[in-house]
Amino acid sequence: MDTLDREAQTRQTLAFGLLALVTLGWMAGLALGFALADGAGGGAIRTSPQWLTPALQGVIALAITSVAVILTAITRRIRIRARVLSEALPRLLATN
Amino acid sequence: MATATITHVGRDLATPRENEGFDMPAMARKLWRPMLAMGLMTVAAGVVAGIIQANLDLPLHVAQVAAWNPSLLFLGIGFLLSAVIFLLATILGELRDGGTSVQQSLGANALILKRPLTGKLFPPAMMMGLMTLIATLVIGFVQAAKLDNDPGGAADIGVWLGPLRFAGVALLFTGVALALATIVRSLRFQAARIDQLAREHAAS
Repeated sequence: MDTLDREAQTRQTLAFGLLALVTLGWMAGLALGFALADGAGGGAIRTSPQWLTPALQGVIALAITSVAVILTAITRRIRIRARVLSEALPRLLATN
Repeated sequence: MATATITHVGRDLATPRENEGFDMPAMARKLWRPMLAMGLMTVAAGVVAGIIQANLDLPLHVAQVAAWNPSLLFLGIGFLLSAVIFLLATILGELRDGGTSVQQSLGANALILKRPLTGKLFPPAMMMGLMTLIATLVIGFVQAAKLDNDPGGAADIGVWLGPLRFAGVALLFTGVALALATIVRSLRFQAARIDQLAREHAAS
């Protein structure tokens, strides 16, 4: 049970780390977009749709990965819940 | 016969655990990791292709990469969403197995939720979405090949290829929503089953 709890906690922390990365990613993409629109970067403006859009899709990919990681944490929590209920419910019913 | 053992638990239909046929969660448990890895690798390949495209000199080559690279990136997102759907199926399996162990610990007959329509529909929705995205990548390569000698035909393909990509992603999100709806049904079933067992215990 302790191993499952530790695993769930680690995955939850990892998901939050990924979410921080995602937040940084879309903020950087937005800032870069505004900077390029203001005329900074010269030649980079012309080619920006070719690399900025895929890079931002990479950020979306990280966001979906964080969803996947948090779902693995949920599976472990469900397993813990089932074990606790399996042990506690028979005791509860026996005392009533 | 299996249909004779189907009973009502609350508002849902229940069937004995041993009557369940194909074990979808067991397959999902094995497949979510490869799907996630393929998704991350495909998106990374798309980002690299975008950087290469930005450094190409010939406009034809730039247009050719532009024909297939969005489909590659969408396919990567599709693999990742498929991994999410497999994980939701894994959660359904955990709920089923956990519910079974709780019922057995109480000495009761282990009943599980009879697979609802949403549970039957989410795997085909996911497969259709993924196949659509694979098809858009293949069509993207055909479009890139046509740019050389039939630019008009390539432009025609480009008009409907974009919406087709979004249709594939929409099908995958439909799969996610249907899987989540199945989890909601499963949780409702478990609450009703515990209530039923408590009432049976109180009556005995």
